[in-house]
Amino acid sequence: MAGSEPWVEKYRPQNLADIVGNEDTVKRLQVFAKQGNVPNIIIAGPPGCGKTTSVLALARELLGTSFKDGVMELNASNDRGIDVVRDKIKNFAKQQVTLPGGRQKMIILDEADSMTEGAQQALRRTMEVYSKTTRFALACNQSDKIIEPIQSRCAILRYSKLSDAQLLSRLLEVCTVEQVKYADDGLEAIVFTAQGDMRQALNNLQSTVAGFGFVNAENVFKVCDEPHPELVRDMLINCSQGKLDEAYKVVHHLWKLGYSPEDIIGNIFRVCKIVNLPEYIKLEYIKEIGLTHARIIEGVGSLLQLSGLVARLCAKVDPKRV
Amino acid sequence: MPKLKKSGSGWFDSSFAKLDFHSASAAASSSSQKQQQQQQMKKQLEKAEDSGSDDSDIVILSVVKGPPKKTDNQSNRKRKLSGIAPKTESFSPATLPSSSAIWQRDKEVFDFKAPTVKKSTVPLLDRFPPVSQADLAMHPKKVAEVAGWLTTNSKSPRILLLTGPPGSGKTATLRAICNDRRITLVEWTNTSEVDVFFQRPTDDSEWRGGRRDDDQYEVKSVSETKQFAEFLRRTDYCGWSQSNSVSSDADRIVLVEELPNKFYEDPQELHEILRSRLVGTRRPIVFIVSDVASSFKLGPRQLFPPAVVSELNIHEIAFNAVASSYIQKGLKRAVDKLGASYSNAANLKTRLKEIAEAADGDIRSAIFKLEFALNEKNALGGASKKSVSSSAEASGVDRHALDVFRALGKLLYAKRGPKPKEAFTAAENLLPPHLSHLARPTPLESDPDDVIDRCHLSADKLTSFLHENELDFAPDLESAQRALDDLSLFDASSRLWDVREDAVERFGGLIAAKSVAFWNFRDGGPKNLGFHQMRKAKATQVRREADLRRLECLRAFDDYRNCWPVDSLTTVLTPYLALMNARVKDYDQQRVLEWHKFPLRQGRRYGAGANTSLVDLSGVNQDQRLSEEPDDVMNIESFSDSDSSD
Repeated sequence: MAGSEPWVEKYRPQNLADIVGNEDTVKRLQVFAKQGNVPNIIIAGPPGCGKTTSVLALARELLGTSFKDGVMELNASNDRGIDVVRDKIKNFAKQQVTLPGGRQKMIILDEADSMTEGAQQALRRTMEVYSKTTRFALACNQSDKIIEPIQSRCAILRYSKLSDAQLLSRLLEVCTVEQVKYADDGLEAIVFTAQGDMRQALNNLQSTVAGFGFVNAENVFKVCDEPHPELVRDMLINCSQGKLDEAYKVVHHLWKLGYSPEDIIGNIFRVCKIVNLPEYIKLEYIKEIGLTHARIIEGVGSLLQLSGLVARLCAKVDPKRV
Repeated sequence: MPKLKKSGSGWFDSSFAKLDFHSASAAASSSSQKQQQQQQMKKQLEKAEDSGSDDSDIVILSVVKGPPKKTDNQSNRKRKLSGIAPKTESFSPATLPSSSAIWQRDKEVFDFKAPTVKKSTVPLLDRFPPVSQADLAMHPKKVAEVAGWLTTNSKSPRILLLTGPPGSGKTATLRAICNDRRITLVEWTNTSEVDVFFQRPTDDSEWRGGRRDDDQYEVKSVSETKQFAEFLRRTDYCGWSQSNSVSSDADRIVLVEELPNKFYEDPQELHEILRSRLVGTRRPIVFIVSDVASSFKLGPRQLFPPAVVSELNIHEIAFNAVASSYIQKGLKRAVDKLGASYSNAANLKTRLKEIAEAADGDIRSAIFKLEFALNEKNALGGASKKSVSSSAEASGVDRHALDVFRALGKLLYAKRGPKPKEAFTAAENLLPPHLSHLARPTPLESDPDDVIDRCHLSADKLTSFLHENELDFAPDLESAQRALDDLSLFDASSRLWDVREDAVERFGGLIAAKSVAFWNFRDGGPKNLGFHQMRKAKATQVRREADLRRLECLRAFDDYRNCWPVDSLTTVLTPYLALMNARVKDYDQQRVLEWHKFPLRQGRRYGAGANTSLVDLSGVNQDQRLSEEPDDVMNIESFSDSDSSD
């Protein structure tokens, strides 16, 4: 049923118009695609929000059939030390390529924040010297990990993570084309686990389809190996009513199922953000969850820590403790 | 396993309320059709056929594919010719390593004054470089300072160092002045392919014979610094006046904006080269080095430590971020040159002001913002008139993205919506009676989670911004206490950990935002709060400065690194040395010790330091002092405290 090609690649939008989310920025890119003469750009945003896709689509629309000759793409898996910037990038910038009138070659540097400082420094002048024939598009998760001189030389576009509705509409498209059998709660579960990351959403969808053939919440959480959010939600509500025993049972159960403490705490955090609790309680809970998360990261990933968390959550509403 | 209650969409309380499955699926099927259509279209296009579709995506493709207009092509070619020609014009590769190139931008500028400007291949940033001092959007004092240095004629070799944040107009100022005075800038550029020449036998005897088998990388790194030295040497001695240029020898200045990478690792090599140049040359050199806050290694302090600056008699001119009014002037010039249309002058002015202020002193970033603002209304390419959108919307690149201060405003003013949603009230009712005073009547207008997502601030920065401004907004003491308590909760841990965990950082930002928005609640809404000017976070700046100082300290006292842990070195050893007026090795060390002396001058208790000079070079026996006054350990500790909060 599931083909060999990853759906993430198969359904990667080819045109700017098809890109989901960040409409304002994408619209402006479309204007550039029509006019040519794009400035050097940095696209910053969380994973799976369409950074690379937009850059590739932009290049495709700018260069048309010369796309192959006019674009060089380097990502973190390529070696990107100073030598690469000096040799590979410079050589490409110098190359004569026949392009549609008024267009420039494009160099796409994916995950630019993982480039070394020295390489970035070397890139700085290259960008200026070849600005007439070559434009740079840098994609990164956080623009402040790129050295200031480069930030100053690029227009910075910031992408936000995709909304649940945007993820869902895309998932539905894919489901229709791939003739996936799904239940509504299954797609909800995928959206929940993906947290605004389209790549993860599509991967999870494909894995679930490959594994079970049917997308429902239970299968999705099995594939993603995550505790079921409904259990966690019950636990939080029990805590908010001071019912320690019930809440503890859930945590103990999750622990016995073999989930890692990081997964459990991460899940508790995400559920806590959307569960319907009073604003004050939510704030206090997120604090406690955060502190426990910190301890778990430090290496104390024990059931005791999780139990302690549950106890503290219950204590938050205890009238004797005011 | 406890049984799941239902397998419907019921386990979500709120998050999916907005989603409409049916309409979404309808959209899905239609857009998948569109996709298929497009794929077909593309195939057609590949056969070089123009499809008659009205789909806008396809139109774009066909525009790209369509035969380019002849005029564009010709003007392109012209530009190309004029762009390439100057590079080899002035000197032959035999006399100079080809790594040097004479900067000819002023020539290009004349090219682009031609009417072909409409569809330029030059980015807006470079299209209208200031060609004379009058064009500069800079504080006249700084311009005069640079101009003054260029005018002074002296026999000694002179080095100018321009520093300042990126986009503060360092290079533009120098170029404009030089253009005005017909001074030619000879610029150094790093190149890699020249190495080929160096591996062949050249006129340089050292490279002849036997060394070609060396490891290539070594050859490269050696050769690049060598080339640089060679470049400087030749600029000094070779008569460029032999070339076709009319300008005399004195009208040339060497410009170095980019240095061989080796020098960032080992600046001493650069200093050696400059030192060797001290005798017998008059050619001025200008170094332009941006301040790079995020990396000490790339900044001017690493390349030119204070001791070297004074030793080599380097004149430093530090540029500041450009004031908003000057940026506006620059933007106005660009708008005029572009021939952009605008509804009326007042509108344009406010719009430019917005852009200038959002650029935060970086004139490049201001131009980018202008470029984006222009395109917004400029519906189709080729249209001659552009219009500046006059709407009062945010000047940022993206309407969806919040600029920092608006995001802060949303959190600090903590506006709440007028009507409570049912789900919200239901949730607030769950509060136990003893906490009921903490219930909020209506939900926040903007969800803190969403604000964080859209303002693109790191948790660290967000927290320090909120910290800086929170006290202006807190309704009462208890709220201030609770909010600040929460702000500090993750602040400490997120910075101290060796491995910074994204997850923990995320908590820090979220808790800070949520807490401020919750505690800044006022019963009557924030109306009576009035307008507050948001302040920038001082904490970030102080921290940055502290980091810089720490690094400088580490470098100055490099010998101690092996026996002292970093923190003790900076906060215990050096303050102590300062107290003792210890003998210092060089100027760098002296500087470090001076920082420590400053706050303690009045409280100094050591007799030997009674003289007023900051560093007593007569020297004292350290061990002796230690044994004389053992109780001074206390003193040092308190000192180091004050230092770390500095």
